[in-house]
Amino acid sequence: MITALAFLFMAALGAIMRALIGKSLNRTDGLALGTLGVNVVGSFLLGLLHNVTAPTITVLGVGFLGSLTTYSSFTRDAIALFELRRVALSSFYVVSTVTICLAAAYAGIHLAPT
Amino acid sequence: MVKRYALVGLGGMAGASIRWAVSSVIHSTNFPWSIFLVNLIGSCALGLILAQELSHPKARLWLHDFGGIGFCGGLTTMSSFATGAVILGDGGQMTLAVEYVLSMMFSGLVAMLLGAALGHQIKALVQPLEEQP
Repeated sequence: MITALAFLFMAALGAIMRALIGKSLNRTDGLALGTLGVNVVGSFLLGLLHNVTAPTITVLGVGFLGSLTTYSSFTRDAIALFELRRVALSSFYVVSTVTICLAAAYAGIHLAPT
Repeated sequence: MVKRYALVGLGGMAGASIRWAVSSVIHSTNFPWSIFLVNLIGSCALGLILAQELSHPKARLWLHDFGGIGFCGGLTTMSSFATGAVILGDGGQMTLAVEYVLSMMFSGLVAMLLGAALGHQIKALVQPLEEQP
């Protein structure tokens, strides 16, 4: 019960933080630096929680970091750039997001306290 | 303004809860199917939602904030995708990890395009109704 309530609270917090950071950092020319930022930071932090067990991982990992990071906005931003005929920027956004998030997750997992 | 963020928060709760439920139901044996699935459905749903241009301003904001930023953003996740891929690679399944990353990238973009195309079809159906007196 407590876990479920904490999960809901942290999920809401993650989504609101993502919206606030997106609003201030996503650039009007279409490059979504805010979305990129939350995805990279969230991937690193979830990596750091690698050895953490339930219920903490449920609340912080699945709830907060899962909600803070997003895949749907990432695909949306990539397609939006493509539609603006900024194909190079779109490709750069896709490849850099995936590469940096994977590197961040790798670093987090390998730095994770046991 | 505060109300808009409250809608984002509520949508995030709903999306994250469904993601949690899906990952509890689908026990990924080898391939992280639950994350793959929610990311595909969420990308498709966001494409569908953002294609709508509801004339009612409140309904429009509600759909965008609750449904788009909150729900789809909360349902989908980059962090579990990235850590899932790294864990596969670290576990000696590098081929599967590469397949996971490439298939997620490709099918996520296709899902978004399909969602947007479907959304435009729905918009064409909904708009004549909305324009009636």
